[in-house]
Amino acid sequence: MSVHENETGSAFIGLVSAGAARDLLTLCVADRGGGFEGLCKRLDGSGGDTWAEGVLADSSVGDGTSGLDVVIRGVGGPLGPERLKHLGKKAAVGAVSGDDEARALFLYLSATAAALAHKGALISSRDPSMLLELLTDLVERVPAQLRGPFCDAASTLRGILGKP
Amino acid sequence: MAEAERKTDAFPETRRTWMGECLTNGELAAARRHVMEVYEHPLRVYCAGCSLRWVGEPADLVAGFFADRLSRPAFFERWRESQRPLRYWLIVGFKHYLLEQARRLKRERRGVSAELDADDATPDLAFERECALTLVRRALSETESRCREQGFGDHFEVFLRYHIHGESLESVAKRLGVEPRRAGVMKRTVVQRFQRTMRDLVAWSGANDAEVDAEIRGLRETLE
Repeated sequence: MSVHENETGSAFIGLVSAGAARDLLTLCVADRGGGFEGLCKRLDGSGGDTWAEGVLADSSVGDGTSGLDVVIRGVGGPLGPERLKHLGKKAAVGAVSGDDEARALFLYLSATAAALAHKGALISSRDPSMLLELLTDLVERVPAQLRGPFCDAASTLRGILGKP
Repeated sequence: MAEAERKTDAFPETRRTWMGECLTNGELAAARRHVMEVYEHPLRVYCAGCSLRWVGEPADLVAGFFADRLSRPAFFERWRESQRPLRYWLIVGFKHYLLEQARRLKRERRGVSAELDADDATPDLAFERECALTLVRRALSETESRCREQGFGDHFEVFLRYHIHGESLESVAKRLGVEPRRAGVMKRTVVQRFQRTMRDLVAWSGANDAEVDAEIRGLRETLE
């Protein structure tokens, strides 16, 4: 049976019980931890846009090119995203706080997004399907000027994975 | 909206919310429609159980309340200034409206009480419970729409089957023909979207994360 042939979706939502609603509300409070959750929290929190732009602007990939240039305009040649990814990995090694971890992961995922968006290249060794989930989730969280590249990256990755 | 612009708007310290964006952009019709769609039923449930239910039919009174209060330009502005949850602002406003209607009728028909009972706790609880249910259903519906629009319909199915139907991740994964680990990631994607939507629905001007958490916990308690 196809997943679409059962009682899921809009019609069922109106029948959601009090018990199920209570469990769903619990999901909305719980701090789910983990590196990606921490990054999401940082982006969603107060000053998230400024923080994200600052992380990229302060990360130089050489020749006066910042991470922001790499992600937004694809500046820095083929090595730009690789250098940015390297900065992310380096930051992860030296991370001592949750904010450091969020910074490192954001650099890594931004570099991956830049390579996909501007070069059509997958430079991450992470599972592509899971990477797609993460990039898709970030599209709605990153500052407005980064949404285009992240959206293009997710779209390119979907193409690489053969998804419509 | 650019960060710099956001810092100078009418919500200097608040999180971004859908209602906040609507009001800042002057989209009052959308804000009114949202309030009517989400809170009409909870207010009717309150009305049907409160000590002033003699004033009229709940549906008529709620419609009258919306017509009267939501048409006032300052209604939403005062809510933002109140820095309280919308449901609190609405129930307080609705009680005032009921009292106004009761006093008007009292003037016409002497001898009837035009006061709310001090221990009118049961209809208050009923209102809170209906708010919780309606908000969850609304958040689910919005999450589903967004997922389907963006080609993540299968992700939503995984989420719904796991969290609402109580199916195991293995069962859902088998049904979809994906690895359980992948189904877990698909589910998480929707959980995060649902969480954001829900928090956006209950947030208010000036609310920080801890206050939104407390509001969600409060709604949850009404369902126990």
